[in-house]
Amino acid sequence: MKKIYFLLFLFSLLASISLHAQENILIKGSVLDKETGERLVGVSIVLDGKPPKSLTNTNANGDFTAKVPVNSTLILKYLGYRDFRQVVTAGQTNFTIKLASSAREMNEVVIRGYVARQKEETTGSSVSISGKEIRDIPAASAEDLLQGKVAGLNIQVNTGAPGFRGSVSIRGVSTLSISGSGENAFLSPTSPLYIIDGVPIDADGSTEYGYNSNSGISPLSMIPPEDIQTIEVLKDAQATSLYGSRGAYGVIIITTRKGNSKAPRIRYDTKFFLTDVPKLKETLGGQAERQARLNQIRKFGSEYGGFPESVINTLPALSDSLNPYFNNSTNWQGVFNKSTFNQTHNLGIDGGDDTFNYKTNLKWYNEKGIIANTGQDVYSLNMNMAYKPSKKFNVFFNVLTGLGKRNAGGGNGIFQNGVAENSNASSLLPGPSLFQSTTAVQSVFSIKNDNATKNLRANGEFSFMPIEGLRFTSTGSYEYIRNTEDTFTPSSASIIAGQNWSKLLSYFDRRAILYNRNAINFSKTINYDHSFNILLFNEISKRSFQANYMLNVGTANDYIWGPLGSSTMYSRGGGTLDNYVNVNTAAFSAFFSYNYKKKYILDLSYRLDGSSVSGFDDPYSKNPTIGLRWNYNKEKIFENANWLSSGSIRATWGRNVSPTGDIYTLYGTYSPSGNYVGSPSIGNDFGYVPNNTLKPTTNTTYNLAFDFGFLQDRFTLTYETYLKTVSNLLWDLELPTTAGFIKVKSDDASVVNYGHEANLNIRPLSAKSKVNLAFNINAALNRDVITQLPGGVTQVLQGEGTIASRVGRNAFSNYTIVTDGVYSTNADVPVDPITGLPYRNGNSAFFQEGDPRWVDINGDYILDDNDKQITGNLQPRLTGGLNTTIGYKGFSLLLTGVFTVKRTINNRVLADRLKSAGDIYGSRALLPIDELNYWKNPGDVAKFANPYDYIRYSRISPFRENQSLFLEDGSYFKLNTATFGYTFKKDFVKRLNVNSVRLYLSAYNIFTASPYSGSNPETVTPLGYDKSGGYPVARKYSIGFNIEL
Amino acid sequence: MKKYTALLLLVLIVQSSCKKFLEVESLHRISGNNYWKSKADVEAFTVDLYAKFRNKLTQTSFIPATGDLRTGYIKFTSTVNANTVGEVSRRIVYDYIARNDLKRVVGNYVWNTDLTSGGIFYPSMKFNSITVWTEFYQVIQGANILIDQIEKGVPGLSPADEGQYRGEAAFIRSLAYFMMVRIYGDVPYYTEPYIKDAMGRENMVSVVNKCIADVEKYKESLPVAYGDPAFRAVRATKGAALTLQMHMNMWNAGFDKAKAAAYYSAAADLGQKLLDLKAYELIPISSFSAVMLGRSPEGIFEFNQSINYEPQPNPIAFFGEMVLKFPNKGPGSDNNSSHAYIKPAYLSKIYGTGVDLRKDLWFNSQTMLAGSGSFEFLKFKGDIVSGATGLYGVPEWGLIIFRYADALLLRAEALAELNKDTEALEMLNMVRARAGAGSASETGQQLKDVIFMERNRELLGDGCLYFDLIRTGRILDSQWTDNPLTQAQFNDGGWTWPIDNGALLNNPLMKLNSYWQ
Repeated sequence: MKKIYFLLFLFSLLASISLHAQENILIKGSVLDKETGERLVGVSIVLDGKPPKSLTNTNANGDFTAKVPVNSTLILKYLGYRDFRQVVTAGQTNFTIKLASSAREMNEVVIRGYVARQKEETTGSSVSISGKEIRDIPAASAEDLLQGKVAGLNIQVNTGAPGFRGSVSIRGVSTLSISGSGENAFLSPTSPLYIIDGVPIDADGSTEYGYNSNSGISPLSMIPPEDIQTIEVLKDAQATSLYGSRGAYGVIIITTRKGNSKAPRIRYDTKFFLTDVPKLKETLGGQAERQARLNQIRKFGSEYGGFPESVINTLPALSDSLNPYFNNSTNWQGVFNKSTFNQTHNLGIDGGDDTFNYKTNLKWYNEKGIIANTGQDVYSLNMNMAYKPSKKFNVFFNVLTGLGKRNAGGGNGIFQNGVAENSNASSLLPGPSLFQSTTAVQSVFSIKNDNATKNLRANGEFSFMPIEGLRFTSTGSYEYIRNTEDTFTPSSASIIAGQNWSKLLSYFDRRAILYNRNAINFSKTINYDHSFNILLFNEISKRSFQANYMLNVGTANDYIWGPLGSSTMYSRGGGTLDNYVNVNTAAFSAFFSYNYKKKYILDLSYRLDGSSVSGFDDPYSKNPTIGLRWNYNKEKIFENANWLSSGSIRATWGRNVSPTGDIYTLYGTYSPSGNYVGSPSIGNDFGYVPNNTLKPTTNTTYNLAFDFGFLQDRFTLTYETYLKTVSNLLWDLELPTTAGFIKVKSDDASVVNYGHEANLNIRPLSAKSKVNLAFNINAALNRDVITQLPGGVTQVLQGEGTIASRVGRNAFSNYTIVTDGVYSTNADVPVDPITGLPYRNGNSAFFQEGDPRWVDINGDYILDDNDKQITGNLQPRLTGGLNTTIGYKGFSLLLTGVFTVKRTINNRVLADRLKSAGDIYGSRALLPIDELNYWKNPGDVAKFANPYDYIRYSRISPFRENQSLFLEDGSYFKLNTATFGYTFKKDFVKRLNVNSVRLYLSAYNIFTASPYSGSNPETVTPLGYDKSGGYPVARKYSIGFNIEL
Repeated sequence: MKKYTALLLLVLIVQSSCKKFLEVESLHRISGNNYWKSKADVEAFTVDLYAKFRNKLTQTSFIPATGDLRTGYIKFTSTVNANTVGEVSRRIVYDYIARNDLKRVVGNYVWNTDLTSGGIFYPSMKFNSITVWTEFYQVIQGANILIDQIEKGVPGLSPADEGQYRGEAAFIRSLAYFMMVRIYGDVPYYTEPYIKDAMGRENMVSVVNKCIADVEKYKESLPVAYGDPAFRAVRATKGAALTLQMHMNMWNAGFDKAKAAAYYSAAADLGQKLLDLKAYELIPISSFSAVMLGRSPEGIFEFNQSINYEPQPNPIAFFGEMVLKFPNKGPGSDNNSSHAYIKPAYLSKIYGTGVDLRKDLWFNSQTMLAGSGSFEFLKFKGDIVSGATGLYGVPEWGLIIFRYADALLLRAEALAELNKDTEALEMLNMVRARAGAGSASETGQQLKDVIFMERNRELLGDGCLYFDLIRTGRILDSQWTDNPLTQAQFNDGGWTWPIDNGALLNNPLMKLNSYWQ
């Protein structure tokens, strides 16, 4: 009976449910990250409907409860994750929902141009990266970890020096300007603009780039990767337009975490990592070196270069083998390169809810360089707080303090030439010790170099929404950066004016940026169909910079550094440097967006950018853009096409104008020059003739993009193609002497970049599958073409004639003599039929068998500068990355690879290596070159001339660097990172009274596959020179531990 | 609606204050838009033009090398001066100039060890700077900019100021062109500011005519004299402008022979105007060293670099440095003999045996015809500047460009060419009277020759005799020079200086002087 009653009861219950389908039931659930199992706090639970209704958020444990109608649909929304739809049926009231990350999808909210919008409503080109993707690798700067994540963002980690930035560029070459010369030539940096928590940050400060100066650490290294919520990379002019001139080279927006937990939460993340020295050069040591040298001299010595035995007698290292000073076998590379053990700790505390939340993040990062006496320490404290007393008000504060310390040792900037030179020293020399070592070696170890950056940034934002849709926002920030460098060179390592005098260099600079932005934003949707968004804002900034240095010599001893005062006896100059900056900028911006049912979208924007250095008559440059988007998947014909989850076509045009001239360019400079007959005289500075018709550099970008998403976005593909014209590039043109002025800043050069970018995401398994599998492939093909050069010329040479830029070709090519093997026999050397003389090297020697066969381009039977040819391309043609994520239960595996295809590298290391063989008089190590195909006997068909023939070496320098012999393809694929993590089960963790525990292992810079014969095709200068003095990128193995209380 | 009006107003206010916000005055450099705000700016800019011009002329022995050494009458002394660095300071380079071997003079010598004559000269003498005209064009650009700015208007300038500064600018640029014409021949000519285009060389007669017209246009507003006595003769005056025009007319008369009469008569008229100014006088020969010191009542235009205001100028810029020794130069070991002497034959010829106080006062009768390092040319004798010692222990000199005696003789020459012998003699005898020499009374060609000889006597060492040889054509006749040219050499530009190869850079329209190629 009871059973019957029960059945009846049940039946009636069911009946009632079916009758009253709208009846609410109480459900419970918890939300987890699908890959890591991490509990997600603050996930919005929304009830689907028209309009959707927000129900609740998950609490600090990632749990939620809600009352919902049966058969309704819940949508779980969380930043950085795919929306999850859960149908609530009567039978199920307890849910465990796993959200999959969605870094690249359409319904994500992105903050662009200081307005939050849904990504499917934006027209410009942008890519988002979730902070999760990069947080497990120990890196000083998050920037390095973006490598291979974004199509078109070309990051080359070209130095392993701790604290120095690699080169970063978006969509190809934007400048033709090269500083320095030869292998020290580098491209003027055109880094993207960084917006960190709503505030623009200069990443290219003159000293931060680190080529010329030791001091300064990139401000980006102050942002701990663990604290990053999202990174958004904006590529085309439409997306970057609202950032004005400074956004001309792209914009990277970094948003740090916000507090989001009812109960205070503590996150602790630590990594212990080992940096490993990459493979070093092979060298001959000790007796092997001596014997090889002796044999070489005996074989190739001749009466012209001195008879062999007499040559040997002039070289004590070879002849005096019993002298303890020369009786060594020192592994110099081992002396300078060492594996190091390092650690980083990150502690985050956050809490609060929508009304009030806070976050504090503390970081300590310590990395000792793999080269002796180098390393980096970063301490940072990042705090923010948001308060929303009512729906109308919103207050946000953020404070970042950072201290970065870096030790560049005896090196200068990213180059460690001292180490390179010393590690090439002959193994016969004694290793470093107080008494037996050269000044050069001492300098590597004993220079005390301390570069510190102190960074303080505070920003605040107030917003007020008097009526729904209308919002006033005011943002302000102040940033102060102070860089110092103290370098003490002890007397044992420095020779000044023939004396062992110690040297103390003290450098300091300060940079201050005051920034304010006031915005009015109005958005309105009429009849659900027509949405408008209008944004007006103005922006002002004051920037100042000043640097000073002093150099004293001759301290009392190597332990007392000073003070020495300013006596001319000790002072070797100093004072305020002339790179003083005091610039005010002001900008006005208007943005209008309209969409019809989120189907047709039109974006218009306009920005006026003014700067105090761009001239007073009309200081404003104008940046207009237009963007169109058609979300065709929302059209009627696709209504039932379930396979198509998203689809759109975007087209944008934008112009980004950056004034290049300053008031000095426009109006000239006047300088005092003493006096004449007692009157002070001031006259023109004749360095540059004023050019008041100078046009600002104009970046015009057309972007066409197609987005596809299939099968609930299991496959998404974005294809973009662009045409970027950089015109009116600044160029120094020399003037005829009749002008009096020496140069003019002209605006005649222009470069066009065009290319294709594709980004494919594949999640082969359904969202409900237990295994999470995601692949991402992105690639960017870029071609750069010079369309115009200054003064109407067709070719210009830079970097002491080694780099050519020619109209119609890629921006930078090598300009070298062309090598075509080696003269096999004397009969192969061409003979001038008119004079009867063989082909010769300048006026120094006739070529003979065993010499390089250099092509005589102009046919005059003389090899000289006129025989140089354009070869190669110094910029990568194709770059991209592969990312794989695999997750199962608590396990996760993340792999990233990056590739660069078609790029010419100038292998100066190989040239040095071959030269070392012929340089018997220098005290360089002898590197084994047996595996190289070099000419030995007449009749040999070889690639290289005989490197041991030291007589020819001095007469024709067969291994001069600037020849096509040393140009190689620098394509590479690098397995960049691998992370294997495990998140402990919740039950287990609960017992420990913590929320979650995660352990992971990661590796960085794992291996590089490349046809390049040198050690690493990536650690070359931005212009493709592989120098011996480069700093190798360490391989890092780390073990990490992440706990959340 | 009110709301929107208020918003608009706000935007306008922000806009207008922003304009100010963007005006940041630079603390470390003066930009063009912050200059030209007052009379002081114009004044400072103007004096800078003089200073730049002066600096060009003092880089090396510019005026002696171009104006005197090439006549062939001056020889280096082979007397050994053991100077401080132990080298023999035989300035054999003077002989190269006297032989018109200029390629050697401007060549890229480090040490010239010409064993045949055992001479060494210093690369620091920088004779190659004479071949570089960039600094002249800097002065010209500056003058063009000055005129341009004044025409655009500068606050605080009265019309008289404007006239004066424009006049000075026009004078300076024309003088620069004229000096270039005299050493390079044809030169590019422009008067617009901020010229940066490539430009070919313009026929020098045309350049000089343009300069005459340019000075004519602006000279009326130049003052006859400046209130500040420090500026006497070192700033452009009406008298300086007239003298420059006279010189330019006389130059063209020699090269544009078809119109020679017109040039002579213009020069004579200009000379008359100069006399009418009554601003200049020939000071007594006994105090002649005041003339060479500069800023004397006889000076018409000169450059100044007094140790009272500035560092000591490069001594080798002055002719006096070559032809004086201790005690008229400081007691440096380099100073026990003169570096150069004037050939005795030439001196005997020009001064002859008649009465001439110049002969008595300017030379030591013992050494005048010695033909060795004991020779001294006391015309340049002055007080050694206190504080200047050793090698630099030289008297202070002005860089005399035009002086009254020169102008008088120039007018005499023009009048003689116009066959106005009486008036010519009047001019000539003014100069002779001051020297205590008897009045001349020649006529016709003889008069012309006498006037030329008088220029030799009076202006020897002033830096104009070689140009007299060129413009009068006497360079072709060994009677008047020890460095004669053949007609063919002359036509080919043998009288010019080589032009630095740098002029060819970035300028496809440029051609160098073929004689020196």
